Amino acid sequence: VLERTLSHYEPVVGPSILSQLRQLAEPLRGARVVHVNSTREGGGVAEILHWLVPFLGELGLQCSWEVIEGNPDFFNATKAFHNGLQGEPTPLSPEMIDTYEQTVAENAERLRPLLESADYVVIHDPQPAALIGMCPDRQGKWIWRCHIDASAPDAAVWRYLRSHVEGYDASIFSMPEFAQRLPHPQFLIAPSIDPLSEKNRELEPYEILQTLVDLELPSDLPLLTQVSRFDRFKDPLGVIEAFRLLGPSRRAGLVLVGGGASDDPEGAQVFEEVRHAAETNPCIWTIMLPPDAHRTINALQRSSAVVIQKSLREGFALTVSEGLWKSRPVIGGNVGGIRLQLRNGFNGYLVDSPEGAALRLGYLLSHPERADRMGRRGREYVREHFLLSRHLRDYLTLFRSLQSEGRRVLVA
Amino acid sequence: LTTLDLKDCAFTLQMGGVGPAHTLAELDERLQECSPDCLYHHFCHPVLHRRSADTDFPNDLAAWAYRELYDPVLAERLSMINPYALENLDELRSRTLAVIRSRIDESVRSARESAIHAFRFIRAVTVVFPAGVQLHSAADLMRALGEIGDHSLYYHFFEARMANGQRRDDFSAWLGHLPDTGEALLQSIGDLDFYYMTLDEVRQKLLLLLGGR
Repeated sequence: VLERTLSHYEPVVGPSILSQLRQLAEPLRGARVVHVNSTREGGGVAEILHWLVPFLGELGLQCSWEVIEGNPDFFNATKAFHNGLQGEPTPLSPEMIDTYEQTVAENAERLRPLLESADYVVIHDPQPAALIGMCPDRQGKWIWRCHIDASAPDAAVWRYLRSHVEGYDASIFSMPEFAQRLPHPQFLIAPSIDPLSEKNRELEPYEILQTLVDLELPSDLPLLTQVSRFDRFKDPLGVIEAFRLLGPSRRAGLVLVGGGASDDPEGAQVFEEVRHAAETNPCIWTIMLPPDAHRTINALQRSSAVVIQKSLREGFALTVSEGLWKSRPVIGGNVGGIRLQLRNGFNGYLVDSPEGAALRLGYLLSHPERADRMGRRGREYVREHFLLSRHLRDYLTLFRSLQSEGRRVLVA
Repeated sequence: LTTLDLKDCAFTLQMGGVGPAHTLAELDERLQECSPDCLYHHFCHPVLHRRSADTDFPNDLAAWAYRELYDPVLAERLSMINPYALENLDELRSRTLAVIRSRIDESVRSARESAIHAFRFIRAVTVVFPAGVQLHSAADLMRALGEIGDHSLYYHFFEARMANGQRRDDFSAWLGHLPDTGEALLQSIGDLDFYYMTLDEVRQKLLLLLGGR
């Protein structure tokens, strides 16, 4: 339950945006919407659903959020799907598929009445995708929301997932590059951040300082920070290499911080690899935080000179918008959704290698006034494109446009 | 006719149903087969995100030619295709194809260049709904211009020209029905070079003209 309402956002987004949301939602009043994903905490999808569901409710829709449950074998299988969608060669064994389908079937037993009676069902990512085949008496529209960079998926994984996804009425991708050949409309909606959440709200300077003290981080060094799950696609080892390339004389500290997610079984292993790679350098800190350490992450981002997100594949990376919103320049991998958020040289830099990251880090550390200007532009860029008000508007418009039957203009 | 119910609008973006274009030849091919809705989106909607009319390109094709094909000549030529000065979307399509084909003919380098990031065709569905504001006079319009969002302004000033068949914005059409509207005001609004402006600039210009009526 959120302690804030949409009216709390008026000083951030302006009154006309909130009025637009209310008018747009009016014909959808009472519509039953169910979101389904695979974890309540950890990762961007859960973060978005934490505010999306109550705010759709405040706008008059009957919105609920369900989480599918599974054992470690199930999440190993779905992590393989995730990696396969991101292009990693992924052998699918019959056992993995059995585990996956059996677990989804067990969840379907619990969720079927709710899902079959809903007006709109939004299924997030591959984990619950097979639910559609187990709900034969569907009344409403079913939408598959893919948050993953699926621009070049492993063929076998996509062939299997496609057999489930093609039954949906529509799908949503974060950007056009991720869309696939599917027999239904493919919508484009970029994710967003909540500017008033614990992760993004303003903090007092003493709290930021106290966080550094608590984590035993220096307050007298410019900090370069990457916040993300410990996942090879986030390239934490590439970030360490970029930091090494900056040279030992550079006065800066590197902080690699992440939290686990219950649907990500590889996190602990990757964390160990990162810790091992960093252990000989006293200016690198690797920190594993609990998935609800939002305020700590907020303070870390605010205490950073530069925020890094050097992913090799990326569905979106909320951390980029989070850093920009805190007026920090961001250096991001030139991939996926990061390309939506960073305009090269305007609010940060897009890089394709550890060398590129080192070059831009070095430049921003030696030009703090330029870094400040980029950070200020970044905040305004996020205000315009990546705040929750735009995201809510996109969902409401999508629900209404599913009735457009091919028309370009739908007049209420 | 003397009352204007302001509308607002929102868009949902969809894949356009044609493949990506990496080269000018592919762009030519896809432009022939894409839906008019794609052309409309790529030429008319960028104004919603333009913050600087002197550095940004006015349409997505020009921006792509500049950033991905490294062809500033083509980008400039595409920039000068003003969809609001054309009869309809068919003419927009043929004008765009003509520019691209002439560039293929004159520049071997441009014709061969292959973009790392392809141009992807997108169409938008516009959902129109009441803004909850009713205007009875030019003074009401002035007040409203200070309050309405960009999408509402876009709908009445830009989209209306393509939708109502009169090639005219809603504000001018409505002001023309009010008994005390001078011809000079209508003429001034009609003369606005809005194609070269951002939405903020259009808003400021309208306020200036209405204030001096």
